[in-house]
Amino acid sequence: MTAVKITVNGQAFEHNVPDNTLLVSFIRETLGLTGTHVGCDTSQCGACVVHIDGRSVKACTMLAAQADGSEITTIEGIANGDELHPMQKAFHENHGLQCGYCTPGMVMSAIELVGENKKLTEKQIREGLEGNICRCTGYHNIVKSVQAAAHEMDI
Amino acid sequence: MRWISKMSESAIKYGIGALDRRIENRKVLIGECRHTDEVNRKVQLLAYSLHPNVAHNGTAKAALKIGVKEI
Ligand code: FES
Ligand code: FES
Repeated sequence: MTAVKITVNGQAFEHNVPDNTLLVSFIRETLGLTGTHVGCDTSQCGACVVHIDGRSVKACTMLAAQADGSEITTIEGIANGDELHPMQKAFHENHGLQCGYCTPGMVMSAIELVGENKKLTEKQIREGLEGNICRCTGYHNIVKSVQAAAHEMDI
Repeated sequence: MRWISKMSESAIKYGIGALDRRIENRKVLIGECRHTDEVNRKVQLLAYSLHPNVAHNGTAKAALKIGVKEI
């Protein structure tokens, strides 16, 4: 067993978990934050993306123990009360989701992408989200949502 | 370059195929939606479908051995 001390969405947690617990399992099963999804479990789909110390990371690619001491933000932690984060709002307004399975990961990846460069071209958005797979939307409205959010976050 | 729709503003808002802001979007966007994988009742019926990738009944036999009932 390993003791894992982390801060998730501003709240401190400490749990003893088996050494081989994946970070995504820790988030979903130990902490009960099921907004972060598991699509593949093998680092391909991006449904499990969370922010670790401000960087987007696929939570199925690392162990909970490796995240010990870090600050994590999940999809549950980006809205400000009732007010959605500009990226969530843009996905809502531009119909950037259908079934919503990929959405938490998409939103978390897109936030980091836009945080690095608010003047993204369509090509850069498509390339930046290459690690996130959506089976529903054909990506068109996702790209549109990210562009709208980038515009909003740039003001 | 920003993505620009070829549809007019009014067509986007009100026409056929207009984007609809679904009420369930919010739940999904804030991480509160539930998927079947998250339903875990104490007495819950689980069904697995086993499909061999070769024409062979070995998979079916193995499944029977580990207590799976043939349906
Ligand atoms: S579940 Fe992590 S990349 Fe698919
Ligand atoms: S909205 Fe269904 S997988 Fe992306």
